[in-house]
Amino acid sequence: MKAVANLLLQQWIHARAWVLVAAVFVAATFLAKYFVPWEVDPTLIPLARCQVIYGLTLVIGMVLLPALYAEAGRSQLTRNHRLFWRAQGLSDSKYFVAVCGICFVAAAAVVLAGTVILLLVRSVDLSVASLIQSMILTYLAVIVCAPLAVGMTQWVNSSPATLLTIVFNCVGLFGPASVNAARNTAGAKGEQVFWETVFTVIPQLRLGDQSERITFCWPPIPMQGFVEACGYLIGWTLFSFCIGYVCWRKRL
Amino acid sequence: MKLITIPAGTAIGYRPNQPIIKAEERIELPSKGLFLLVGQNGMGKTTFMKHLVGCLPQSKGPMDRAVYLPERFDLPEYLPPRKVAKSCLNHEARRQFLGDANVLKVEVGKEFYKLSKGNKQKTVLAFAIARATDNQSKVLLLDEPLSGLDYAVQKDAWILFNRERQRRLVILSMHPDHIETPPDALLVIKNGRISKVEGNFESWGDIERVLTGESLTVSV
Repeated sequence: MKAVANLLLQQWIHARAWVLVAAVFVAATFLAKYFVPWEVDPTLIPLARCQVIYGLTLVIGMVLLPALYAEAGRSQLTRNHRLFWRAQGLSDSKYFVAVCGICFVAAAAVVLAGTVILLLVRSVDLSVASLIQSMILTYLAVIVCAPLAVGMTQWVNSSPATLLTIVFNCVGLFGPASVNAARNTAGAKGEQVFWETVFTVIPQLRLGDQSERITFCWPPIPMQGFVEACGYLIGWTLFSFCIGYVCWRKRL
Repeated sequence: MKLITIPAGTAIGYRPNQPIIKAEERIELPSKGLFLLVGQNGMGKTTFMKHLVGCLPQSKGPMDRAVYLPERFDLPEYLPPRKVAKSCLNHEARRQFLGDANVLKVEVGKEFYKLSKGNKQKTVLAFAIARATDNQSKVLLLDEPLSGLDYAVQKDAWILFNRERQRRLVILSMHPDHIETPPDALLVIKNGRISKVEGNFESWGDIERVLTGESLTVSV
């Protein structure tokens, strides 16, 4: 299990996708000031940088990471790594956990982004507690789909798996607002029940989108609300893990 | 000492009611030695190997500490073999891997995707053998390990096979154009049946006679 996780990590480091991500982060940090009237008010620059870095972290987490998860899962099947490791006694569950362990790479990206924002945050009004909460929720939201993407790749190619995972993330990010609007305007009883059900069932990944908190320097979320939000996202990750594992196990 | 016993009547296949191979007589394999698994294409050589390591739906589960190298197996493409070895081999196995790579003339510092087809094949062969050392495997199953390799490299690979047969049970699935050292016995798959055939097989001609002969009962 350790060997598989180690190998995947090395593979990611050598694939150098992180170089591109780092370059985008660095470029965005320097270009962020052009999104605000910094000539008028130079104090806006640090805040703009915080927003851009956070926004990029979210976009990369929701769009690029699914592609990496899917590629990692698919390569295990197509390169016959599953047969190779299973023959050596690595059980399906341990193997799946090892491959899903790649979501710790997402943690590294989020921690890095958080650290950069933390360095910039001194000159804006955002509290450190608020930033840490935002980063934790963002991380939990971007890893929800990881086991699902890995499991799906045992049945479909990595491209459709990536696409489906991105759609899942988009539904979770933007769906609740649209469904909520429909729920509020629903007239008939049946229509109300329908939208209510949809609202309850869809993943509320919007909890991981804390860009407004960063933009407007909102105070930290009350502890109970924060714990509930974390619990909700962890619950979805576990659900995704179960579905992903079933897909993984059914195919060898 | 017997390591693997396949009882008479064992049916091997992907579905319970559709066996691809049957063992009509009891097959016993010792804990050390080299066996060639031979049969025509599509006869079930790979299926048999997957059965042995527990990778078929009907098989009992992974064998204790077996290394199975599938015919198509690639290392991570952006990693040089040396890094792969560092990631998942212990010190002893890594030393062996680097030594074997030297015997087989593999460039371990180049990224895997930059290696030629033959070099990739040699790398994964050395890697699989090193994994067997790493987890002290009792069985090493190699599916077509010499396909795509030229004669000189095949000869070098046989040096490794002969070393490994002293340590563990080695089963090679192959179409041997050239046998450097006679195997201990053959596992022949023919007409949906698998049998163990013992004898002195010094050349491909000897094996071919077993494969094309009318009867499998040529035990000596």
